[in-house]
Amino acid sequence: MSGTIYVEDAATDSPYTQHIIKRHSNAGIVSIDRYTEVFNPKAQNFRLQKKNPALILAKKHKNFVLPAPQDYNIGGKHNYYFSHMMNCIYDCRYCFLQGMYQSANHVVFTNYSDFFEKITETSHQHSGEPVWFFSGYDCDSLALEPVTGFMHACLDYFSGSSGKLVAPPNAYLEIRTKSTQIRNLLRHDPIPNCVIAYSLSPHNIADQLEHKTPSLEKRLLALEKLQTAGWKIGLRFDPLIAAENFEQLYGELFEQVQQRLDTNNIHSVSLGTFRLPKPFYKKVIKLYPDEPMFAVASHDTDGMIGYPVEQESSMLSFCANSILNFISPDRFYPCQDVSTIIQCPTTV
Amino acid sequence: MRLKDFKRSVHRILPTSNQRFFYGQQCFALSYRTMASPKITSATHTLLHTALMAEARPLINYYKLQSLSDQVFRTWSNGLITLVVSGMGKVKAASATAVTLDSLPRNSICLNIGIAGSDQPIGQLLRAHCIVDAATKQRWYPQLTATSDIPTTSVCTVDQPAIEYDKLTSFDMEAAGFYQAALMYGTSELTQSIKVISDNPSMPILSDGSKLDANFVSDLIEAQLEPVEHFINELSGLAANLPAGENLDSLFQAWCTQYRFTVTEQRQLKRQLQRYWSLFHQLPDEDLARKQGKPAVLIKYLEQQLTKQSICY
Ligand code: SF4
Repeated sequence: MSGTIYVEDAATDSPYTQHIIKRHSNAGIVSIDRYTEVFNPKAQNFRLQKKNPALILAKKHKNFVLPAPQDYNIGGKHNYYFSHMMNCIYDCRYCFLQGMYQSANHVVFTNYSDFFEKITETSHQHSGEPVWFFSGYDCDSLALEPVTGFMHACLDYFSGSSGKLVAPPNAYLEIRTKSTQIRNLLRHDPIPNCVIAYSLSPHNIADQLEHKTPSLEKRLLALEKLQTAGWKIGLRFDPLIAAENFEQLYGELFEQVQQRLDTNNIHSVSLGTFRLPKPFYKKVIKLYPDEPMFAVASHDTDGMIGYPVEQESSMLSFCANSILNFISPDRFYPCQDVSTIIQCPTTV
Repeated sequence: MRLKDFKRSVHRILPTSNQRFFYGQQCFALSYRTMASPKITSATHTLLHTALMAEARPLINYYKLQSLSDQVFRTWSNGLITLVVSGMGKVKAASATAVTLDSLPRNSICLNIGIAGSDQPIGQLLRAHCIVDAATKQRWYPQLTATSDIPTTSVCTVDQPAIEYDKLTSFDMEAAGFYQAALMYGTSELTQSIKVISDNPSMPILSDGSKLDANFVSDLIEAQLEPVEHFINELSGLAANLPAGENLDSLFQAWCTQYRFTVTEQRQLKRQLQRYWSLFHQLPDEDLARKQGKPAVLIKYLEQQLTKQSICY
């Protein structure tokens, strides 16, 4: 991380802000009025900033929890996402954040308890029904945990161990990640309302496209540990990346999953092919015009850029059918419609 | 050839050849290895902007820059580094920056170098983390992505020489103009301002400007050439991460000159050539356009070739 920390005036007093600043005693501190002054201007280059992103500590004022996109769910009716952070320390070439934000700097909103208050409020709006809150939509949930301590506070809130604010019983949490920073989770008793979901890709794809992330092997190891410790785990095969050797790569991945994990004890599995909204795609190819994966994924379906429809279907079909060999249909939540392409549609 | 086109062609040829270029009466003996300063570590073009000739002189000597004639503002270059002297004030700074950048490649490194007043020791080198236009209160934050040991400061651009001093703020008269103009052509990570402290409470600037002795100013800049050069090299290293792009320009231009592509077709063709390059690591044969006959047919053909291709991980 860069030697610069921008600190919003409104965030200065937060104990988390102070803690983070103390941890980075060598960093230059720049006071700012609003994080948007540094984060939003045009004439910034995401690709360059990824080489050495700065940290911005800010206070969030609204939109603490937002409705999740339609296909972003694991069976719940009420789905919301929240982001205590914008951007990610990893650098997956397909990441939609590089198309969404002007800046690759890491913004951390340090008024954590405001997130929890809104989660409580939103859960009460649907009392009696499960409400899912997804973390890791605009960032990786755990990757910067040693710096932010957000998930630690979040687990205390969901488990009721913080004493102050306690999550309502109908609030459910998904922590989506590629990170192996699970020390805090392993120290904590498993929380029944919480799922730790790992994004997985075949080793070669992770190696070539998911820059700076823990290897597939390390992610599987983290999943093993969490499962053994009693945590509910989820698997997210999203995005599927087209390849000449697609079936070999993904076939091997599903094999590895079955060998390493107790497949009867997996909370949920989801999958989806690579897709980006057109405006994001346009921005991303300006940043990486010579990236081969964007050279083959350039088909426009209703404003979403991805693979041609037939190719998408065949990728989804292969994966859905493979997954349904080891996961019961009630735990399978594809992000795209697979009802017409799996071999026994009645089972889903 | 217009000067603009000439400079573009020079830029394109530079990394591989040792040649003489004539523009009007001017002759540029340009060679990446021999003419350009050996201190430059990358082929990214750099624009240096100063307000005063006294600030520019040490840089001109150090980088062995040659004067360019027929310029709106006094300009020097060695092919990779261009220096423009704007005169004092943010309006002149903005104009000189824009005029010069207009004939340089996009996303060049842009560096404003100049003296400033602050409650800091005389000769202290500082890098701007914030630039404020005192008159409009507009603020910019140059991204500090390139690493550097140079301490940072807020730079406040004033319209009249400032006689108040502050520890956290340096006062100058150009940075805001320079920065605003430079951002129209480049990116914040590569657009930077560095200041050398020339006056402070114990050695204040006089209202008649008599402290601004040219030799004194030149000496201040000269003393900081090493860290300045180091900083430029850091920026060059960062700029090396930008996509090259130039490799397909010549084929694209050649086809667009020979055949009539609509604007949409040109956009499609450019992206197809990028995709082609990334998948095949080469460009299609130049003769392909003639063989396909019409632009629309060529585009369709290329699309078929590209769609057939897949990646093996
Ligand atoms: S881990 Fe997720 S958020 Fe981070 S770069 Fe990869 S895709 Fe983006």
